[in-house]
Amino acid sequence: MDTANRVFSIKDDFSETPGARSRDEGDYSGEQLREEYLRPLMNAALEDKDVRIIDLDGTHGYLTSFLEEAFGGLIRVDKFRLSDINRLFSIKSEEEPYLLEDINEYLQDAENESN
Amino acid sequence: MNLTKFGVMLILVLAVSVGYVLGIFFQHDLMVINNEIDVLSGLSILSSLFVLIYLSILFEKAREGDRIKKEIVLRRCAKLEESIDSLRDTINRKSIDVSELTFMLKALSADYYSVVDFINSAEYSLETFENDFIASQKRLRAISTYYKKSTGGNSAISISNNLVTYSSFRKTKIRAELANVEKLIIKLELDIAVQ
Repeated sequence: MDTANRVFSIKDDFSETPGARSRDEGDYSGEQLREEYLRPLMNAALEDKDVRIIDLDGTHGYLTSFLEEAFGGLIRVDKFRLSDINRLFSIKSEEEPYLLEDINEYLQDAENESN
Repeated sequence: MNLTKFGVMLILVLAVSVGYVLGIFFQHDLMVINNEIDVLSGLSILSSLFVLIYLSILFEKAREGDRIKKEIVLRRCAKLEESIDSLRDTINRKSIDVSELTFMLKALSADYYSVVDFINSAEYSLETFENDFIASQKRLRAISTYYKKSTGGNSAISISNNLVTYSSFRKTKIRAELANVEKLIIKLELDIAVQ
């Protein structure tokens, strides 16, 4: 994956059929997305101080636990700061705009847990 | 004869009948019946007729618009009910592929919002409808797809090789929420019917 790319499409760059929460539950898990894509993207964004667009559209849909692991895990496991994620990740979903609200909740919950 | 023409005819007949009866029983200086119609009276009659016809056409158009709007709501509710039935059948299975489940829930959510968006655009005044529907959609997605990291295979949802297996307690909760949505749909249909 080229972390310099400004747009990361889950469908094109990861999978059209995202899976479960953890790697041991099957392919294309939230954990895999976070470890192989979101974490490097966040590190690159912190380095070049440029926003990355995460496009959620075009997939078969998401388990809420997949999203919690992928995004909440950035704070819970990878110890990124909520303010950095909000500043450097622009998450986009035209097909399912309610996912953005869910992801914000997961991020906020993970931030509350870590404090 | 369509309803518009019938309505206009009915109003005309009633207006003439009422005028005739009043003319007979209340002979008065201000209300004189004679066989000659001057220009002013003629214009007055024509403009009254024009207003009557115009109002009845407007009224009929509004009724037709209401009928179409109600039909669209009912059709969208029927589509949502189909998705609910489909999900109910699916969760009864022993295990479900993750992508099949997420695809189904994405479609179901689209059906929820299709109803909510149309109700909002049609400007029906339904107090708690939107909050109830959106809360239900969110609850259904959460109880169908949210689980903590599995510990010893005792989760409400366990997943292996991207195959989802629900505990019977979780299945009961999902069924209860599906029943709740159905109640909301029936309430919506009744509320729409009386508006």
